[in-house]
Amino acid sequence: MTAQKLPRDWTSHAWERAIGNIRYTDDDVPRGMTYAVLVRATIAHGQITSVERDLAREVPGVLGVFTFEDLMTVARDGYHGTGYRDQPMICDGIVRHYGEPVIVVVATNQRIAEYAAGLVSVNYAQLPVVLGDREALANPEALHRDVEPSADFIDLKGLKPLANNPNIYVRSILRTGDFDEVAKSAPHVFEHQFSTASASAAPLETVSSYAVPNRDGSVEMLTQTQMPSYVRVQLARMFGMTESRIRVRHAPLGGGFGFKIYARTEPIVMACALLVGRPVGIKFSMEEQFYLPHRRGTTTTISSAVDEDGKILARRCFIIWNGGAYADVGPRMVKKGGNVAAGPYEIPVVDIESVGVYSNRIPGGAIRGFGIPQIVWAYETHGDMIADSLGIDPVTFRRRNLMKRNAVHHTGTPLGPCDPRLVFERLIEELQSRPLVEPDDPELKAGRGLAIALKAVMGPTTSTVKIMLNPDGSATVHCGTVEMGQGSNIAMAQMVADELNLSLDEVKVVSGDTDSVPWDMGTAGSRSTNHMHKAIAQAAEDLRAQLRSLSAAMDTESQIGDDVDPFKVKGGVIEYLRAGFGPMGATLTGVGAFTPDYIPPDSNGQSERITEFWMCAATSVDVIVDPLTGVVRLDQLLTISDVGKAINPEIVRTQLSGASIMMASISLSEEIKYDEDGQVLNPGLALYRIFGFEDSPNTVYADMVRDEGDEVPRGVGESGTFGVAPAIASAIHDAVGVWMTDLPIKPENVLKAIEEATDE
Amino acid sequence: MPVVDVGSVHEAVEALNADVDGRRLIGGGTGLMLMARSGFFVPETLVSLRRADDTDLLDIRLIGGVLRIGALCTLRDLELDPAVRRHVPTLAGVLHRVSSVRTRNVATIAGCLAHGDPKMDLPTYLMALGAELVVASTAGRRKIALSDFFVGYYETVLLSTEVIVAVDVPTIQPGQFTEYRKFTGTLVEDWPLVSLCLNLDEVEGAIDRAAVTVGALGSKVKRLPQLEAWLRGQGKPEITTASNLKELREVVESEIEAKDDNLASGDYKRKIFHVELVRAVRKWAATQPTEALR
Repeated sequence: MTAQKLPRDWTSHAWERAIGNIRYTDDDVPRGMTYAVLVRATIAHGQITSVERDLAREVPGVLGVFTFEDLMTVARDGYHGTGYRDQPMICDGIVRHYGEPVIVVVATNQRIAEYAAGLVSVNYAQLPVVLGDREALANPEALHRDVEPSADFIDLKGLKPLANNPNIYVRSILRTGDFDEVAKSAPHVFEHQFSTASASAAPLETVSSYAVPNRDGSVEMLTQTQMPSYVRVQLARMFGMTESRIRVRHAPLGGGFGFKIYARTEPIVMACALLVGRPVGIKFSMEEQFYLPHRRGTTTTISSAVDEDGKILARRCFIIWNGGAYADVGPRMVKKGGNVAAGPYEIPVVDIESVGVYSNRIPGGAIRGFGIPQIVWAYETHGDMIADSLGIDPVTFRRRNLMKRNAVHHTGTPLGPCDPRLVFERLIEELQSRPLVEPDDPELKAGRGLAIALKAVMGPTTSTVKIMLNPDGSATVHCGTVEMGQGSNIAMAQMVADELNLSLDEVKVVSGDTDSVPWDMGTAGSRSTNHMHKAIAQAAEDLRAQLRSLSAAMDTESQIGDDVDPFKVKGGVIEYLRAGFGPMGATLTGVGAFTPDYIPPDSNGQSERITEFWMCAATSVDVIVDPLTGVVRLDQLLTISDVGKAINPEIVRTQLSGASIMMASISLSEEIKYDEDGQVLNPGLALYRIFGFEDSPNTVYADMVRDEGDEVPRGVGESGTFGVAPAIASAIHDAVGVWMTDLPIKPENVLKAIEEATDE
Repeated sequence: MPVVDVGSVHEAVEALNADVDGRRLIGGGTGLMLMARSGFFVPETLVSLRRADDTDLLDIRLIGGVLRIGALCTLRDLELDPAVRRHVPTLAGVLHRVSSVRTRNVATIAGCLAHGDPKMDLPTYLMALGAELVVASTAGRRKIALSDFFVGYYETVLLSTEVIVAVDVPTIQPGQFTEYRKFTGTLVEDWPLVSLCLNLDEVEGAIDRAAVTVGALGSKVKRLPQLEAWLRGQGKPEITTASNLKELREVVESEIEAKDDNLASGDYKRKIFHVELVRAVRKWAATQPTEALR
């Protein structure tokens, strides 16, 4: 099927997106919409002492000026959050980060709401501001008291803040032995520290959502979300409604990257709509979008005991995840990041502690890789620094240490078909035909670096699918995967066409409406293609069984045997439907659901089944460095990923290379800057610097490998990001001989490192 | 913001005088609208010459050794104009790296200078070339040298009732060397973190006259008299000897100041200025006399 030529309407969808013709959520705003504008906190931590809102209320066209208490008059629970219910719809009296919404102004149009919002004044009693990773770890005053775990996820069962330091809201341990014991007798022990800055996904389609209350008390929510099913669950819980009375719709997203997951602005517009009895929408500017969750900053201390040949004997990691004001996806990220923090290496003893802390930064979220790029940054650069100290080249160092085929990961879960060595050797092979560029200018220095990484899929979560087999044998697929430019609708159609032996023209994918599409956890964490693949197979099996029983009404020779696939019988499907329902046939509906098996880890982090599958990707980067200014430019960026079976190889390649370019930008340029009071200094694209075309590498290449006979698709969306930052650092070292340990890698810091190395 | 469309420079001056504090002249609006959107500066009313009949405002004419550029010429007009390419050949290359084509299609030369932003490219370049502004007011017309024009951040000597009608740019003569250096740091396309321009007249292999300007480092674009004095009389290729470069470094250290900001430390920006200046000087030193025509 992957060789099948895509029909015009599928490719035109991508074309429409490229030229900006696609209809996004904001292009179809429901009639009669009124608008909510948020008044944001001008401090990073403090108590609201008074709110003056009379002036704003008197502005003609203003429908309401609401505090948290006002919103609570229509809500049963004003808090949400995936790990803890720690996040109020808007500020609940204590401001915990700069830019936190404190008041909502609703007016008949955006402009009036903005004007009125400017008339609201809020007074605060300031509290101490904690921003840094280590300061947050040592903060005796927990930012939250008595937070309630959400219990939404089986892998977060038993979650609670540390008793002796409640500012640490999650602590994850993975331990297979005593590091110090090994280190005592090891020929070499290395320790390094690495940091990453906060960054924003800044999707070009800025966040918006629109709530429309119906006369019967039900509510329609039109929103941009990667998780429509989950948003509905949260709204139902928070507003005490049945899920059947909340309809969540969405158009294709203009970029998601993990930014549009879970509930964001939806509870606010829902509450406002219920309060004013009219449709209420919210539409963020690009600047405002910078107050939504960021990629969280980290500080990682990593130590390795190594023998004379560079074989790693033991590794210890301590990772601080600066989660900002609300935990958001933190508990999961801290656990999953900790699990893989030793890298795809055979290491007899690993000892990992991963902690999530609250601070007065913007809350930490997930961007393309769910924390794994921050982890890989540390262990791959650490590995290269070790190899450099021992005089071993980076390729040999990895060959000596990489996990072998069919290895069991440090967590105790087997790697299955994921083979790091296969991925690595394919990268090396690719590099052999691509010599390092020679800069035109003799002052410039070129260098090459590489990195490899492993990630487990987001985990155990459910995807369901409903396939309607139409009377003519064509299929309409109801599937909750969210199309956001990654080509999921095409992939889903291809998988259904494969199962049902149809052409792509005969398959239609319906998504974007919880009234008709069954539950899906969400389009995130590289889970969708794999989980839907399994759900679709089950739905197809359901249809086969139904067709078999319909054929029982036919004469014996036309009946389908148990060993025959009814979809493979030429003209069969229509005949079976007619046999069952008469000459016009009728619709058969097949359903499928998939939830991975999961065994919770023991107190040392051990589990035979901690993930449904593993992803592995290797990256190589060629840089050109100007040693006199520290400026780093990218010449080549290669990604090799084991994605299992690629349903649509061309889309997989572009997905991988797109992810790698985005991560190159985060590695070299992007950084949310705070002043000492916690104010964000660079919201908006004029001040927050994202790569443009000129900054992209001259050559970008991506390809896939897989184990022979591996017919199951695995994750794609994230793996292109994993190794980009450490590969850049390694390439910079190759070019000018210095190691960079803080992200982003700024020219000033490169120059400083070069000068320090020269002084020595 | 309401817009008052005026038909001529005279009408523009009258319109501005009618409400000195509330009205503001708008060129292409690329700078002003960003300021207004962020709430940094929001004029009550805009006065626009976009519907004016005055063709001089859009003309590019050679008058003696000077190219007179009408105030409303867009940066893209200048970039593509054959007369500009012939008489000020380095300008197109400078403009090519200013923002995007879409912005250059709208931004005007007068607006770009009147904005008074030290982080723009054109002021640094045009000041080194010795450009002058032709300015109209109720008192008639006057000329202001660009080197006397800037006062501080977004601040110039232009009165809010005055209208820039043209920019006079001396044409580049044979034997003249002009090099604009724009350093953006991490991203290729960005405002300059450091910028400088070198404009040298060469006689028999030695620098006869030097104009050096710096942008982006302080509150305004300015000339650097100490550096200019040092450059005068320097010959090529001796200018690049170790002892000369050491002297040059000392002059830079004495004359260049830069403050820390969100993007980089002042110390780094001064180092970059020095690196880029040396690169420009080396480039001059490597030119053959016959190539020095530009």
